[in-house]
Amino acid sequence: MTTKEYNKCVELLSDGIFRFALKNLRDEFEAENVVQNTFEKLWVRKDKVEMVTAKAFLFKIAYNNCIDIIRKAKRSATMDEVVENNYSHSEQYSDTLEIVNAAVNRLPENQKTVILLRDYEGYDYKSIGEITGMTEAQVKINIFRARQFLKSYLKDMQLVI
Amino acid sequence: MKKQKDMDWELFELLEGELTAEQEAELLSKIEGQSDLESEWAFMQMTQLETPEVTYKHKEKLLKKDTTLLTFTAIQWKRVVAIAAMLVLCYPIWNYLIKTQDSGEGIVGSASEIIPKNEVEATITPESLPVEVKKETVAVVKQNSAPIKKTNQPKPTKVIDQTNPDLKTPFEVVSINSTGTHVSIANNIVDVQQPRKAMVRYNMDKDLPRNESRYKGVRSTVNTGLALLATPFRESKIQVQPTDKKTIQIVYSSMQYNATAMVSLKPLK
Repeated sequence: MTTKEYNKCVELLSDGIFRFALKNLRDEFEAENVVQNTFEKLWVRKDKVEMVTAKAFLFKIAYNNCIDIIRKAKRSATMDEVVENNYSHSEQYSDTLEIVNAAVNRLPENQKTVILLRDYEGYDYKSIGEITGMTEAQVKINIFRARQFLKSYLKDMQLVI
Repeated sequence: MKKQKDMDWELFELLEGELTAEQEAELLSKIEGQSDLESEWAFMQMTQLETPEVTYKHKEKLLKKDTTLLTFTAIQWKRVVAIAAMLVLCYPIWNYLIKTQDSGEGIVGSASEIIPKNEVEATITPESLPVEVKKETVAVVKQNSAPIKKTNQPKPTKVIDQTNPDLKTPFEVVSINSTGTHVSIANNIVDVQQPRKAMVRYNMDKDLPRNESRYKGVRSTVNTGLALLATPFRESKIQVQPTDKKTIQIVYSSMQYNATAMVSLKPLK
């Protein structure tokens, strides 16, 4: 990858990486750090990374970075926490989008990651599997579970609203 | 319960686009008829996340300077400098080769035009010469230059000047016009291994003082003429002597050739 191609990656993908990190971490400062670290790693390895695989490489780095940060900060949204907070409904929502966002934030980390990559970035199961280290079947089932959770959450919130 | 799970999975696959066109049409028609399925499908569709507009504000910090062009330019400059350096270094060699390979052809008073002495003597009378060509070594300007070696071989002689009215052909001559006045140049012998420089050192400062306006233009003219005329006589000795008020005579001598040339000088205006 040339410097020009690297800069093109920055222009095209930095927003997506930032969005992905921000959604995962829910911390703008941390998300910015993830973006910087991710592109720094791309720059270091730019001679080994082809332009066509750069996006997957970046998301994989960003994903691992997010996981590390979450683990270190003990902010990992484990299933237990989700279940615990699942139906507390303490927040006030004005529209469906906010409800969905709140629901996404309550998803377990692996489910959140795959559904973000699926819906935000449009990745297929195989690509998501390459980024996250899951099999295609695992990706699909995680997306299914995430959607089921969101659906249940939405249904419940509709009753509250 | 199982039926519900199956339906959820089908709705999920419908949303994900995993069903064939036929399966999709069949499922949609099935949904249309049942309100609970319609509701389930509506909620399922709401789980598809809309991509939010998020902009990373510090892209400039991530961008790297494209040094490709700079590198390329630097390489180009290096090449240019290298070529220039090679040319500079090769110039003395080239100059040396030109000197050694120069046959004198095409140059005024070239060696090929020189008449062997035995032929010249048949046509040139001593009286026709403006001055007698000195055969003796008078002085050696360069301290480390070897004195002229006299040989017993006959030396060809040539007088070069056509403009000097005092001179009469049959000599094959070439003119070198000057704007100077009469120049009195002492008899001397100069090593002409580097004729251009040698002639300047020899004649100019001594016989054509720089600060005298009447010699303005003479020095360069004489120098040019001497250099031209000396060309075919590299490695030879050169002798310059005064002739009359408008000319100087240059005598070249080498192992093979011995020749003279006249440089005519005109008064300054």
